[in-house]
Amino acid sequence: MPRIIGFDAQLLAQTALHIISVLLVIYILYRLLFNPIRKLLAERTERISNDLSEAANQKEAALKLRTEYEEKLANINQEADEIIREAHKKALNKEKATIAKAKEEADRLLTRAQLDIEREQLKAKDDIKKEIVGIATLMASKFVESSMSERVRHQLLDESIKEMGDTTWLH
Amino acid sequence: MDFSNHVVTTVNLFGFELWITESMVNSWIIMGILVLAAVIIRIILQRRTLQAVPTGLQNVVETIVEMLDNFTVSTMGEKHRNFGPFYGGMFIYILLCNLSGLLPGPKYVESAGYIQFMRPPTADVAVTLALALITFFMTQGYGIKAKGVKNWAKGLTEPMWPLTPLNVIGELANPVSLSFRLFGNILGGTIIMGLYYNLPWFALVGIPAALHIYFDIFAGVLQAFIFVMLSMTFVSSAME
Repeated sequence: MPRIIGFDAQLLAQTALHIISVLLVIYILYRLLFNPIRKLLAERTERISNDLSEAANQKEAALKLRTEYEEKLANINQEADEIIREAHKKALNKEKATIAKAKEEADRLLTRAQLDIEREQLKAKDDIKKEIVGIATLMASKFVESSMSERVRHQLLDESIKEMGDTTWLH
Repeated sequence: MDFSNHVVTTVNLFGFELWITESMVNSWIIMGILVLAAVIIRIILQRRTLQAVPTGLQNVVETIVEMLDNFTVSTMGEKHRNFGPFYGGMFIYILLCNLSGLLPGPKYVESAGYIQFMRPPTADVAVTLALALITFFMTQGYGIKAKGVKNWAKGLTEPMWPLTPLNVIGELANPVSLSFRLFGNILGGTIIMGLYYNLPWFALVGIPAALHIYFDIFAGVLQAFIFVMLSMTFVSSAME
């Protein structure tokens, strides 16, 4: 049975057994060793490339920010002047508005005071007239009582009323 | 001197007497060592958890895996990177088989030599034919998958149809040439070493080391490399 080479059914059977064994051992090596290590290597490659691209992005962003700040620093005096001018303008506008409002209020108060004065004047005139009528009536009655007859007294009262007229009473 | 592939035991398989040969047992020993090494490496790496920044053993394993992947990519192209684990495993297996001639092995028969070295499994045509047939089926299978049955069959009639038999013979010759190249080289080395160890004792001082370096290490590594590279070339060219 020992031999170096032979072409028969034994060779085919042994070859088939070897094919199965070899495929099995390659599969075991793939699952145990190659697959996890390759996965790890691929993950590492991806992580490094991600880190690098992220670093490049951050650098770009930092440079952009730096340029922006440098520009801002260069323009800062101009910006300050602008702010002061703006504030001054705002204050002036506010001042004008306040003055206008105060003037309006004063006008309103003046108008109201004038109306009050006119009303008081009318009231005072009315009171004075009432007083005059009262006093005149009193004096006349006293005078007539002492010196005139009943008939003359009536005649005088009628004349006085006629002289005063309707318009006098209304003022 | 006996360079035969001895039968260790026989197994009755549905009435067929299958010989479990010396090279088969040796190849199972090598497979066992490979699987054991993979399990140990996996356990050690898992205990420390695979690190983002590798150290020690992880470095070595990563370097080997990456080297085998790069070997595949350089031969088959970037788009066939996924063949890396398959050919990596095949390369390591063939390499260990070829180098096993350096190790003392189990004694199946009384040997005339002073030292009983392991008989490399690749010095058996059944082993090399198995590897070559895997390549052959892969070549045809991936060829059909990539081109379709019609184009694959049409490829056999090129450049003109009368040459079809030659093309078929050419395809069938590939596994034969692959398997016999590896088988012949390793068997040749084994026979030469066996013959040399039968010389008188004074010839065995120092010189066998140099012979082992040439026949086992140099020829072994080279043949493993050639076999895997040719297999890759066949498969990738069948897919183009």
